[in-house]
Amino acid sequence: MGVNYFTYWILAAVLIAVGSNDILGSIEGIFWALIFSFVLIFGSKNSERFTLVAPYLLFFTISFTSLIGLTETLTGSHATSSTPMLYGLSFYTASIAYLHKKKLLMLVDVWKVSNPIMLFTGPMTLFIKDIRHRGIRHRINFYLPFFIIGLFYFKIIGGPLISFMFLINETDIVSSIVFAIIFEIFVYANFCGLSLMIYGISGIVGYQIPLNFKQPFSASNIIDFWRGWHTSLSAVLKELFYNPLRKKIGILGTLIVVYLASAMWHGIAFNFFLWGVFHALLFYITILINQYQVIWKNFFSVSIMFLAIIFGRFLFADSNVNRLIEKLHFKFIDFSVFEIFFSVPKISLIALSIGIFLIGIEFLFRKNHYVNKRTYKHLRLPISQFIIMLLFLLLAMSFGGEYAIYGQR
Amino acid sequence: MLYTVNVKSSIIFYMFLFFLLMYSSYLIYDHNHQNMEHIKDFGLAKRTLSEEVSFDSVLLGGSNVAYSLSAEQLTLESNNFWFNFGLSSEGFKDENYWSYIEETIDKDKRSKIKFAVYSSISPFKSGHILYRKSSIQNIWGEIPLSFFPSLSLAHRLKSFFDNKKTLIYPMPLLRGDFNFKNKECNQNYIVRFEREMKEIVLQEWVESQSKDISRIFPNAKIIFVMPSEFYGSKYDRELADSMSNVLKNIVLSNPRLEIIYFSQNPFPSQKITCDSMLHGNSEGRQWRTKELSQFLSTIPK
Repeated sequence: MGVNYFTYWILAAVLIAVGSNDILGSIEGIFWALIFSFVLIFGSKNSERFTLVAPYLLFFTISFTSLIGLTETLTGSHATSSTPMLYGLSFYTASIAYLHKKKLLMLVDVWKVSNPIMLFTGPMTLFIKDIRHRGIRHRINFYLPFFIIGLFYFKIIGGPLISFMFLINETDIVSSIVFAIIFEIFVYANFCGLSLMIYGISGIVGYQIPLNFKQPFSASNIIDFWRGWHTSLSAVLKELFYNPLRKKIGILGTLIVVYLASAMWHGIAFNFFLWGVFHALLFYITILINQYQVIWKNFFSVSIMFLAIIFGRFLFADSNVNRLIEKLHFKFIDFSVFEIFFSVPKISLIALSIGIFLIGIEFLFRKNHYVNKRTYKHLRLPISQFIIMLLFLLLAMSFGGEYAIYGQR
Repeated sequence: MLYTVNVKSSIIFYMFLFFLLMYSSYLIYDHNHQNMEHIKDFGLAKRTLSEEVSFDSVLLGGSNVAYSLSAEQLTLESNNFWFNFGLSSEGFKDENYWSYIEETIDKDKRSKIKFAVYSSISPFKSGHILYRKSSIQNIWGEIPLSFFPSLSLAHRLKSFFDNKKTLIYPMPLLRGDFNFKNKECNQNYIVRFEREMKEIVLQEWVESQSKDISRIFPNAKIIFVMPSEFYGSKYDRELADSMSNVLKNIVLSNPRLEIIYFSQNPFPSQKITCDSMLHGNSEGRQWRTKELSQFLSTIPK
């Protein structure tokens, strides 16, 4: 039992349009996404002369629109697409590029890559597996917990953290780091939450999509971290850049290209460039640590991972060049930033505490058999689900901050 | 394997149905108990009062206007008759507020308004302008029945056990001014300095607000006022000036915007504030109104 994919697509479009603040804008966006996806797939399949460069042209389309100011940078601070015509552009172009490179692209994929629910929330549609042959009860039992976890992450943890966003204006080192940590939790809760929700909904309807997050904080090093964070983008980057370049230009050069490509996909901005180079270097250092049996290997790997995550977010979050440069002076003033914890709503503090607690569990218990599969199994247990639902009942409220930070663009 | 599942876990589905039922019941309860009556009464009282007194100039904005500007004092200090239309949270959404003003003052009366002072805290909070844009609250802060309640169940339970009273707006005075008579002002609030620094957001906001004000009050001189506030040592003059300059430039560089810009000085002391860094108490109101009054006197008639 299940609906056919076209019906699912239509249902997704209705859900996104009704759920957004701007119904007409959303419908317009979905319409253009469908049209452009069709044109791009049709064009890619019928221009053999450009077969080699087509995936790259497609992938960097969003960089070009960012450069000329048609789309905004994707820092996570804002989301609404200022040009409805380019709604979801970064996602369907990357998906088409991936499928093209893998020589899997078919005209019918237009429905796959332009699925509105995916364009709105972020996971790229690299594959959609029809699982309707599995019984509805079976699908609900398996996928419903993902939806519940996702809703909890998105609404109870992510939403209230919006109260801390004003900290982006603070330029002293303590405030900047506090902001980077909170913003990392916010991005994770929001993006992972939505990805899990979509994963759950799609599965219940009868279609398995990529699991976009796989407990990234259960990693022991930065390489492992990226195996769990925005996995659909990682797969595209690997296919387009890592695999073709690794043997040609060596590992460090490849990593720099991969991270700069990732940076450019998020937008053309100074901070993304710094972020790309920084991550590539730390990734490379981690490889060296693993290769050369360094003493205290685990300690260094974990330290580098947290440095990459926190300082990486520090760089990534702020595309205001002047402010970022000021932050990079690492000016110490005092610890008064912690006073903000008394000024934000209590619900935001609770959200932050739960976020830190859950990330703590992901990391500290990463070897536990409920955690080490990296499929949120510890949160899918009946007792965890009971606690999650109870907390949702107690804490859910209309707060704002319920936007998809990685979608739409 | 990812796709391995314990079919016995149907218990989660039944648990989900149970919580869904509980949650839906709470949503309905919450929708019927939003406790915004005091805000509604305050706004409706202003509406009634405005029909009873004559005025040719208006004070517009949110609680910063309600608390810390006095129409009574401005009437005494100028040759105009003022009315204070400051509402809690400025009607929670710009559209709500301008609809309220249009419905409250009839077209004929609006066309005779000489001065429209608009004082908003929207640029003072990062993200606040966009937040208001997407707000689903009505003019009194009530939200329609939706997927999420206006107050969390935990909050209601805590308030119930604490027997905590919510902030109540007393009924306004004759010209819509705040009645401080039985009001106990709290100055023990946490100060937090922030500003909206996205120029595009500020520009759209200024243009949209000035368009609405000039449409509603076609013959009025429009004055955009940045309210007084108190931040003590947290006051970041550089950031404040930077945003103020951005706003000023937006106003000056766009000749279509026929508005006058005025940024009020910060409150000199926390002692003259009330409940928030953006609200004056009766003394603070007098101080801020005086400064505004002096500025207004410099505007050519």
